[in-house]
Amino acid sequence: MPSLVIDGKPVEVPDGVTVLWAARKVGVEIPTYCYYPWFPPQGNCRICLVEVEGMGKLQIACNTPVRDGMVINTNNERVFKARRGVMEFLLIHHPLDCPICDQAGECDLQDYGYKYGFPVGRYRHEKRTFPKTDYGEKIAKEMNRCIHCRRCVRLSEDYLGVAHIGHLNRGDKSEIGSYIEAAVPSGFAGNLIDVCPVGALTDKKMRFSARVWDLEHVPAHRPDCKHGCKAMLGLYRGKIYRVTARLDEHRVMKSMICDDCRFEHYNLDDWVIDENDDINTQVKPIRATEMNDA
Amino acid sequence: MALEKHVFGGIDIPGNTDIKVYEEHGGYKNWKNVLQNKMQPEEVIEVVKASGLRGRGGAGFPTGLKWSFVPKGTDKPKFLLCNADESEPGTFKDREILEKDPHQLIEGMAIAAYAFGAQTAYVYLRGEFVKGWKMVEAAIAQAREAGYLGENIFGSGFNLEMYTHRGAGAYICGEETALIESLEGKRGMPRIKPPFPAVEGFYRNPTVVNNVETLAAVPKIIENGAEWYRQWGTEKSPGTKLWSVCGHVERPGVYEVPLGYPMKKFFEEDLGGCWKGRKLKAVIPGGSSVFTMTPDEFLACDMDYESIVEHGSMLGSGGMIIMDETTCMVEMAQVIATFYHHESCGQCTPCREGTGWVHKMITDIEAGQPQPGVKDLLFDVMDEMFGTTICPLSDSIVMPIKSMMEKFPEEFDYYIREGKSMITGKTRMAHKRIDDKPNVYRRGEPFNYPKAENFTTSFDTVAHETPEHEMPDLRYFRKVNG
Amino acid sequence: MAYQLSPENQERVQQISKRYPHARSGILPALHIVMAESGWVSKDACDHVAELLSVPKIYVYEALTFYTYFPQKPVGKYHVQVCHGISCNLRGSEDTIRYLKEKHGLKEGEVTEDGLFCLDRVECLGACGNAPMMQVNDDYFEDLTEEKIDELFDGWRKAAGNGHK
Repeated sequence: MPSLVIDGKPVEVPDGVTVLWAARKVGVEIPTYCYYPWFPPQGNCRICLVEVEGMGKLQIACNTPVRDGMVINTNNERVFKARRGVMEFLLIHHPLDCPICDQAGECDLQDYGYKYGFPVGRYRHEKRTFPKTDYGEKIAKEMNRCIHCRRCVRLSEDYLGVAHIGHLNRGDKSEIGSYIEAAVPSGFAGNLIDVCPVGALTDKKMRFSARVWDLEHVPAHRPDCKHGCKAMLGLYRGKIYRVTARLDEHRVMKSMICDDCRFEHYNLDDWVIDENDDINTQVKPIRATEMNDA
Repeated sequence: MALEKHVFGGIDIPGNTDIKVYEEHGGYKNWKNVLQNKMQPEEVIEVVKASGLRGRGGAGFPTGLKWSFVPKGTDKPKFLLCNADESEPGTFKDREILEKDPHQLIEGMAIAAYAFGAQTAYVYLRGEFVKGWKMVEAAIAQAREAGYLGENIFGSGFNLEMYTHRGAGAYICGEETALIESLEGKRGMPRIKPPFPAVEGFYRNPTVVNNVETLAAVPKIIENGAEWYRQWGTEKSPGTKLWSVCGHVERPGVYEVPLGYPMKKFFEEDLGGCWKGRKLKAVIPGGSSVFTMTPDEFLACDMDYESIVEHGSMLGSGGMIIMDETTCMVEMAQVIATFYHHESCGQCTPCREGTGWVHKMITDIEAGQPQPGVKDLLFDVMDEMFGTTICPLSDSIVMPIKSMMEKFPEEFDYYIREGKSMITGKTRMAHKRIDDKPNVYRRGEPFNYPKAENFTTSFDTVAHETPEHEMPDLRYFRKVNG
Repeated sequence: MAYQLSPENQERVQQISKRYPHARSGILPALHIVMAESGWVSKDACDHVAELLSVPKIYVYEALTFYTYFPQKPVGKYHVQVCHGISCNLRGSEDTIRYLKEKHGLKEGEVTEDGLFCLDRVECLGACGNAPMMQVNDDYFEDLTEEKIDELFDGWRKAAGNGHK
């Protein structure tokens, strides 16, 4: 078992894990965008840079394997500056449309923007914009907000089993899209919304209708669902505004939910409230409407 | 005294693309020897290791060592990829070998493949080299016909298939992991390491990627031994290297030069100095992606990896770009920025956004209307880009431009101040002016850009004082029973 | 009618894709074959390639849009690509481009009215020693001078004229 020191905290971890894993184990926060535990690390967002003593360059925490005796700093000036640089690059073309963005309030870009961003933009050129393209009726795609983490590309290829979304063009004109602008041909396409860390993919059904900080999140499932989806309802004044997958503390989906659950059932009668948001939870037989009455 | 070609003499032999001519000059003899004399793969690696041959593509990694990283005793097929995606501006040495001496490359590849047990080899050529591609294709066909490639070569039980693969205009595919991605039919985007290609490369199989020049040097090393190769060069960088020289020079072209050769002698005697009797102003010695050198630094160094680093640059791929006194450095910086902006693959954030930003800022300077504080901002942005990406492309735009701005500050200052070049007196990008176009960002009082250090969101105020997990997780902020 | 390669070329694509462990590697060679046959690569051609290699279409689109060597719209009979990289710039590629535009009426990114020429600026083509240079279709023309350009263009115009008659 390699033992290492992260920000002065000693930790022992199993062989073969990454620095990010070890850091999360001791509760050190390392920002991530492209990292998603479901996929092999890709390492292109560059926000998780950390300083490994003895290595010249900053290393990405999501793909640096731990070694015995490593000393890692995730919170010093050099790392902060590098992350601030990455944040600045991510934001130079990002539209300032948080007030109308459905992701606002649960957006990784906002969170780390607060922490690492510049208070002033130094970019004085025209922002890059993309023509409006979409993924069908249910998923709203706003390419201008995209940070090219490619989680959606990887989810659709590795988990939905449809190679439909790709990375088009190159350099700063890169675009994530399907090229033919068709809906993602999968019954689980809605999960793309949940993997997107920013507002590039949002739920068309809940568009402009509620703010996420007003929503009360209730774990629930639908007895009729043949997939047995364990969902999370977004309620506001007793009405369902959206249905999402259940997420853990790093906003990683615990499991996918089907599009039927996500987009088609806005009636509380369809749902059964669960005791907690554990996906293996025992079902508590209360109808959602009953709970509301009580 | 003209420089003699020792290792790559085949380039100068007319008709050497034909296998008959090549065989007459001792071609494929070494490949035959290796197989027929039952030279063990380990011996081949030992010889190459002893010769001290280093990768000629730019990084200078010891070749024998690279081959020895390939795991032994796996069931996985192993692959040898030849990197002939020569796209570095100022570098055109590999093209000479591909078009004039392809058989030596094929022989080298065969020996290399044998050394670490690859049974399939691909030559990844850049798409634009149509002539070189045809030459290599023809040469492979001839070699296969003559029994140098194929199954059970010379009855040794060793099989080797060799194919060509054409790239299609992407500079980034010269990076080894990007080349592997491209060969897999994907977009040429560099992969993160680990895993290293020697362990998991082409379709997750052990793979070695070597430059054309590296592989083409192998037959001669096997033929004459490591000591023979070590007669040239220095202790740390033995052997000879092909240098491609271009720009404002009397005799541009490809030269084979022993490493450690004095640069002053090479420049003045062999290249004939600057063209038209002008004075030397600056040199980028290793393809466009290394630090710019001033004449003093340039003429003082020797032509080997260590000495050039000592004098403030890098050997890189050995593509020397000579600039005379009529060159405007701002213009050069702009041309270089255009190149890297165009060639960034768009994967890593700092490179995707940074190359474009740097390009736009320098174009603004060239258009005669830079934003206020542009010079500090350029330095800031380039610092943010340096060393934070997967592959070195982001560093490659920073190194030449930053060194130009540091070594020729007066030219940049003059251009920013006067809106025209100090050298040519012209505003080159005048057509890119956007004065008359409505642009909200440029209206009003010029904004006084604080340098990054002076920003209020400094490390001290944010990272230390705000508690960890300052952002509540809003999805869980209000639990149902809470 | 959807784009289709000629039967021989379809066969070639299949053959080439067998050289690799997976057919996806055959995308670039296939696109090269498409380009050699029709001069540019259309969306239909991509679909056709995807079908031939049995890979998802998006893989081909991804490759097509990444690699700038494949034109995504028709180029003239002679696709003139002038290098404007650093070495060519030092030796006067800007003058070459200006000359091509002024004397021969070429426009950047556009096909001339007679359908013969299309001018593009490209990044370094790896012939820096003989700058300025240009690539026309598959061939390199190096050490360009104004006379040499005139000669080449006259030749092409003549060849095209004969072809029409």
